[in-house]
Amino acid sequence: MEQKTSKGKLIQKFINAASSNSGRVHIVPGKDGWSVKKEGSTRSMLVFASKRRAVIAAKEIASSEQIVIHRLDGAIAKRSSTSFALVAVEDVTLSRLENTREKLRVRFARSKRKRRVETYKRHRILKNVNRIKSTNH
Amino acid sequence: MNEKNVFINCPFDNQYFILLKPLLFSIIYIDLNPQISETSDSGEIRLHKIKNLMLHSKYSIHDLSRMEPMKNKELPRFNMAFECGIDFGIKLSNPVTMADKKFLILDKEDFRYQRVISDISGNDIKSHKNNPEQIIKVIRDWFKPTNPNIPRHKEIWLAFAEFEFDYEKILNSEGYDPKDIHALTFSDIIEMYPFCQLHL
Repeated sequence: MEQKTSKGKLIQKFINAASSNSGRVHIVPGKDGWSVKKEGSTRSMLVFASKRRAVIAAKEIASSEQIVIHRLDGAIAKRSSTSFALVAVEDVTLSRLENTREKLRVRFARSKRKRRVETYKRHRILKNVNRIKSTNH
Repeated sequence: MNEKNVFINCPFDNQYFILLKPLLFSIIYIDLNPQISETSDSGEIRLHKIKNLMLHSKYSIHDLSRMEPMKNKELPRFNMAFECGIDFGIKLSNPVTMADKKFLILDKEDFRYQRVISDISGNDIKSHKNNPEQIIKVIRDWFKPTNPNIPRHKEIWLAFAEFEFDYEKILNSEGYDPKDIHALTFSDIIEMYPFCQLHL
């Protein structure tokens, strides 16, 4: 009995959710890129190659109250108010950029050290060759 | 045989749930009735129920993508191939009444079926590549010749994404786990799914 009541309540919630169009904007990944779609419409407004650009475009839509970012399986990856969503994505991008910079810095330092070691070895070899030459003379 | 019924033979587990949801959604979206059997019934009743669902469905979709062991050293899963065989048997033993019955076989890779179940060659066999968007495209494209006004797969996919938002939000608010296939019974889910059409 309790389960039936709960089911009826769920169905009513679904009817209410489906029949009301809020100011939400959905960002949905697909074969052709990231689609920006206003809730209730059947077509996407814009399609972008990157998620970040799609989020920026969604923020520009005047009526967007909330941006919902979906995963590849359609499930919700993130939902947030427009300003928060943008900041979050930018933060991710910035941290990625920082990581890349750090990696490059480490790689450069390693190659610099390697070069220094090679130069040192070359010098030692040359020194040894010179010493042998001078003793032979 | 009901012209709008679509019998679905697929696994009922959480790994497959991400494909089952768009599969059910796309069938309801194009105004057809999905028919699936509950897994909790006892053996004999379940088999009779499945037979009745097959007899009353013009279309059948058999997903054989999970006919493999879930873990190493386990036996493969035979249920889907077994039920697929029963459905073919029903069609072959009733050539007049079941002449219009149509089958769609789904798998996760192209031509994989040829290695394990080559007898089904010559039927409509499509691959969904374990991708929810692709399964919507495959279903939509298969039904396209039966209905010229069928929407584009992109439209169904976008509507599904919107529905997923409501689905997760509502189930979470009611204390259910939206990712657990056993959180609600399948008949409950199907009863709820028609409301997705209100998104139109």
